[in-house]
Order: sequence, then C-alpha cells, then structure tokens
Amino acid sequence: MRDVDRIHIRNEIRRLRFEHGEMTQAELADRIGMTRQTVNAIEQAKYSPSLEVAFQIAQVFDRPLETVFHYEPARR
Amino acid sequence: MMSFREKSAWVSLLAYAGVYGYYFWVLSSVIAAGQATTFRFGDLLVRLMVLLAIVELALQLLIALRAPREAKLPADERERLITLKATRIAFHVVMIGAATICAAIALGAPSFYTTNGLFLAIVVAEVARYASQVVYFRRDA
Repeated sequence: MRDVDRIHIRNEIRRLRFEHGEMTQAELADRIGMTRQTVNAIEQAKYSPSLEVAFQIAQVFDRPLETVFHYEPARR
Repeated sequence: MMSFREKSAWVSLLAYAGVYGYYFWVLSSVIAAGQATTFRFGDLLVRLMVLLAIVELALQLLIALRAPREAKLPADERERLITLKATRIAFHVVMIGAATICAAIALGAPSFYTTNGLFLAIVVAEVARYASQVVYFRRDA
C-alpha cells in the first residue's frame, strides 16, 4: 500500500471500465460497496484489494479473475 | 476530491490540535509565570473538552450532511486498513508517553506535571492518529 513499486499486482480495470460503457470509478465503487477513492487506489495499483473484492470486481466485468488482475514478479 | 472519512479525519485532526493546542499553550504560560502549583487546570480542561465535543459534533454533522450517502456506508477495507495503521502509530506514541510519565513519577515529579504530561501523551497520540490517517489517505489518493 505504501510503495507503488512494491506492489506487483497490476490490473486491467481502467480498460475494462472503458469497455463497459465507460463505467465511472464511482459506478464501479457502488457495485462493489467501496468508495470511489478506493477504486482509484486499486486501479492505480496503489492498493491491493482482498481476494473477495478482487473477485467482486471480476464479477462486475464478467471476466475471470486472472484477466482482471496480473501478478508481476519483482525485477531484481 | 476527498472521501467522507478523509474529511472526517481532517476535522478531528484540526479540532484536537486547535482545542488542546490552546490548552497546552495556556499551561505553558502558567508554568512560565511560576503558577503551576496553584493553577486549577481541571476547570479549563473540562470546558475545553465540552468545546471539543461540540466542535467535533457540529463539523462531523456538517460533512455528513454534505455527503449523506457516503456517511451512511460502513468503512471499506482500505479505509479500515488505514484506521488500523494509524491506530498502531498512536499506540506507540501513547506508550512512549506513558513510560516517560512512569519515570517522572518514580523521580517524584509533582502531580501537575505528571497529570498534564499523561494528558499530553494522549492528545499527541490522538493527533498522530488523525494525522497518520490523513497522510495515508493522501498518499493513496
């Protein structure tokens, strides 16, 4: 949460929102019961959501979890 | 734009820092004037606690009325995590303060100083808690 470089989970939320009728962050936040600021933090990879929230987001976009979130191992 | 809980943290931070900042400023003047043993700090403290409760209530109500939907929602997982992290920081602050006061009592410091010292530790811990929340909210915004 503190350091963007330490979070290795990237996501496709921005693109998926665009593909789903240009859904706003606020609309997605409403669907998953989060604040718009939290959705923004997840989208910017500043905060890694819990598994439950990750599944909820994937469900909103009707996609498998692994197409919404990707794990990128740290570069050494 | 700030979330309801970030605004709430700002309100608490400013209210605590303002009201108790005034209290400790008065106390420092009393100590400087050499009246620490005769000053009845309890009266001032009770009045300021009532003032703080009124200020907090009014401002929290104001921000809740401006975002009623968000105010009714429970904190989400990121907000809860921020609260927990901030509380941990406050815990360390209050523990350092308590240990310092224990040492002061053991060394025979007058009750004026130990009582207010302990209260200062609590206030600083609360200010640290709200300030940490604000920093975490800003950093992840």
